[in-house]
Formats: sequence, C-alpha cells, structure tokens
Amino acid sequence: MTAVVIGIGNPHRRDDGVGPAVADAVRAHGVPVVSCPAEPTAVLDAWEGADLAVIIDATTMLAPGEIRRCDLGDLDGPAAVSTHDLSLAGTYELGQALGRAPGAVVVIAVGAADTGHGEGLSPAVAAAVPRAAAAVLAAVHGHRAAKRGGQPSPCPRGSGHPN
Amino acid sequence: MSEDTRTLRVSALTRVEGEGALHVELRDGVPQRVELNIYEPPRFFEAFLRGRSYTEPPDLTARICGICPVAYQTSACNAIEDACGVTLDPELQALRRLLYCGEWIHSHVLHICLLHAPDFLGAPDVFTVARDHRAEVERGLALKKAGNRLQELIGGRAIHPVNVRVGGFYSVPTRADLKPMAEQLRRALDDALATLTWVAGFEFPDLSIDHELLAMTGDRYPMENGTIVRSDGPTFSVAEFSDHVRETHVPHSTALHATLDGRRHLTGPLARYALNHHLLSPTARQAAAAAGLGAECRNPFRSIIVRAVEVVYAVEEALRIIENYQRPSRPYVDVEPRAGVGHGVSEAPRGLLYHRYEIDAEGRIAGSVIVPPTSQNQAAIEADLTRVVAAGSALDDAALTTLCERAIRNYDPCISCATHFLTLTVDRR
Repeated sequence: MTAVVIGIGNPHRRDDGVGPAVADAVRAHGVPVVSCPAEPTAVLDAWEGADLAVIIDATTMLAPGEIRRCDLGDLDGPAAVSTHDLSLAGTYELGQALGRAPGAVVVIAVGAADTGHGEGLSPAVAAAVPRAAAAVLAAVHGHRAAKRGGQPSPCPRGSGHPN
Repeated sequence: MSEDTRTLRVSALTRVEGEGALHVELRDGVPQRVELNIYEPPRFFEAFLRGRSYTEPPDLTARICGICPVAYQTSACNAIEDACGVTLDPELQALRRLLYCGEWIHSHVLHICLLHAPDFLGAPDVFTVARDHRAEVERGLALKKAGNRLQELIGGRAIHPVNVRVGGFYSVPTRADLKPMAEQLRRALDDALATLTWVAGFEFPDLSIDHELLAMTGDRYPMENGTIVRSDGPTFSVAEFSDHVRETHVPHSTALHATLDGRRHLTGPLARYALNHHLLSPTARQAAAAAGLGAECRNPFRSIIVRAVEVVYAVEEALRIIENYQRPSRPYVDVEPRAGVGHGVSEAPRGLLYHRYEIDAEGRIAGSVIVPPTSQNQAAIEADLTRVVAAGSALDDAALTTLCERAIRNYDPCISCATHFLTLTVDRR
C-alpha cells in the first residue's frame, strides 16, 4: 500500500517548477517524494515499487494556477516515439511492459503562466501550491482508504487509453 | 496512375530525432527520386550566436540537442580555445573525455535498445520489445543510466550539462567522488558486452556502401578531440574543414546537405570504426571480432553492432580514465579573448561535429559555422535508400516503406541537429 509523489519539472524554468514545489509541500506528510525532470527513465525509477504514483506537472493548457486531477487515460497516448518525446502515458506503457508500473497513476496538473528562464513561481501559480498539495494528499489518502476497504483503486489507468 | 507506378509516403518518421519525411518515386520498379524531407524549421543558431560573448557557445550550442549536448559543448570549446591559442591541461582533457564517454554510452544505448532493436525483432515499437525481451531492455536501461550518471557527475546534470566552460570546468571531482562511478561502470561493462552479443545475433539485410568515410583519429579511439582522417583522399587539417566539406541548400529539406570535395560521404560509427579499428581497446577489439566484425563494416544495417562495440569501448575508457584520474590542479585554464578564427571538432555519437568561430578583440563572436553529422550524412542516407528501394521494388508498399524507415534509422539521424526528420512518400509509376 505504498504511494509515491513525483514532482516533474525544471525549477529553473519558472512555473515549470510547480511540480517540485508541490512535492516539497507534501514532503512533511510522510509520503515518499521524488522530484525529477520529465525524463522517462527517471520517472520509471521514481515510481518503482509503488502502487500509487501521484504526479504533479505544469501545463499551459489550464489557466494560471488552475488545478485539474486526471488519470493517464486523459493524457495523450504513446504515439510516435522519438527520443525527445516519450509521453507520460508512453512511459507508463513501457513500465507495464517491464513490470515496473504502479497500479494506479493520478496526475495533478497545474496551469502555468510563465515557463521562461529563471527561478520562482508567478503569483497565481505560487498561490495554487497549497491547494495542489491538498489534492495530492487527498489522492494518497483516498487510495489508502480504498485499499483498506478492499476497494479497487479510485483512479485506475484510463480504460480509453490504447494498450 | 498506371499499374507500374507506385508512390510510397511516410509523412512522419518515428524513432528518429526530430521531424522528417521521405518521398520515393518509382517508375517500372526503378527509383527515380528519393528525397529525405526535413521539414523541421531552421533554427538559426549560427545567426543568433553573432554578437554574443566567446564564453557562451558551449552553453548555447548545447541546446541544439538534448541527446548529444556534450558533443556541441566540446566542439565549441575546442574551436574557441583554438581561436584564443589555449591548450588544456592533460588532466582537464581527460575529464572532458570522461564526460564524452557518458554521452556515447547513453546516446548509443538509447538508439540500440529502444529505437533500433525493434527493427530487428519484428516489433512495431519499444513497448513490444520491452514485453518480449524484458531482460535485454532492462539491461539497456541500466547501461544508459550509467552513462547518464557519468554526465551528472562530471557535467552537473544528465541533460544539457552545466559544468562545462571554455578552458575546462567550473568544478572538478575528487578521486573519492569518482569511486562509486567506477563500481557502476564495472557492472556496465558486463552489460555492454552482453548487449553486443545480443545485437550480433540479429539478422541483417544485405547492403554494402561505397561512400567515402570521414572521421577523426588520434592517439586513442577518437572522441573529444583529434585530427581528421578520410578513407579515399588526402587528409586535411581541422582548419581546412570548410575547404573540403561544403554545405549546400537543397529544395526538399530545411537542413543543409554537405559533401566532401563535391561527393557524398559518411561520418559516424561505421566511418569511425573503419578508420580507427586499430585504436580500440583490446577488450573492445576482441568483442568486435567475436560479434563477427572485421576491421571495417560497410553494411549500415550492422551499424547497431558497431555502436554496441563503441559502448563497450566507452565504458572501458571511462574506467581507464577514472583509474588514472588525477584531480586537475585548476578547474579551468584562463582563456583570454583575442581576435581570430578557431576551428573545433569532436566525434558526436552520430559522427564528426565541426564548429568554427570568428572572434573579435573584445571577445564578441563575429561569425560561426556549425556542421553536424546528420547534415553530412543526408546524401549517403538518400543513396542507401535508392539502393534499398531498387533491391526491394518487388515488395509491397508497406514492406518497402518499413525497409526504407529501417535504412534511415541505421544512421540514428538527428534531424533536430541537422535543421538548420519522417513522412515517407513513394510514387510508383
């Protein structure tokens, strides 16, 4: 019944660092936390052995500071693989093939305003960190409660995603 | 369209770096036109380097590629140090080579295990290979991780290292820092040898190329620096590179096409191996022989074996450098600007990478030229494709398209580097 929180992003690219910032914010709550770049092998290592991975990542598809919880089925498929572009869903599929994928993945997406060079989050994104951290902890606690109750994970990989 | 007219289209090549397409026209089974269309936009690095400080090209040009940034950093440093009349301390040179070993390991293993192996295993993608050949892919990932770790240790991080500067490094490791790396590399050597044995067992289509070969050479198997060597003509100095290797625009590609004295040539693992086989370490040479390679290999489909040999070499070379490591007395040599022109080369995983900078007395860059390996190899790739299409014209469109894509992946082309790659179109008439 292990969970890992993975903050993906580059803190030197402004709001792209929101993933690691949220990961830092939940570190004190006794959940294993890893921050890593959006690099497939790093993500495979980060979630190894966990049955839930909660991933926080920045997106430019939401309004700055807006938070959306989604599962891998909501994201793009592995599509055409090049070395520059193995998506999170593709990384999960690779992990499944290798027997190194968690049972469930929850993605907490946070809208970014500025992904330019430099450190520090823009005000709207910084203000969203506590809410994103709460969403992360809710996902972890919900997963633990479901496990204790013998229920299936509340957030399995989306059934609509190609295997 | 008549029955003897065929058009094949691949509009987005997969398992290559960047965005490109292929257009093939066949008339009565004879290829009339084979064009590698690189449609990724031009990137204008050479233009925006103008006016920047002479200290900036290592960091700026590293951004040309996320897979081989060390190659860009190294060729840039070599060129600027040449312009400024600086020679690196031997310990710093060794450290630069150690960093480069990390790049060869992770870049080659990525291509061998994740991008190229599916072609030989009848698999559509790496996911299928991972399911059916789990142990081999896991071994490859462990090997790649060793390369990445080496880059983190010397370069500060695995992608786009931040510890490289003109004249050396911002900080240099102690012997104690390198000790855990040596332990990881010893395991990696076993993995590299096993990976070589694995790929040597694949089946390879027949093809023998006659392109002139261009590579670097030196006291050791070429990597971070050296002189230029070619297979057919008289050799030339690094400063004479632009006199012999000329880039021209072609209508069907946003990447420049380069020729060697007006003819197509090939750079990269096959060229490097053929011209430097004698410089391999005994272990790598013996492993190459055991894998069925002679002193040269002219079948590009077998380039996966040559890459695996180079991984064995890079791991062993990294171990050698660490074994002999003496911490540099200074992390970098001071490099004062002076007006002049400098030339630098290094052997990127995909081949010879040339940089030239013109610097003014204040250290501003007045002009730059960057010639990546993939732009040099485009004519060779198209020539290979013409032969593959001619030999395979009896195949149906799907099979011929697959074969063409394989012929392109033989070169591990880095389209992003070259634009300054794939969609396939085959037109049979």
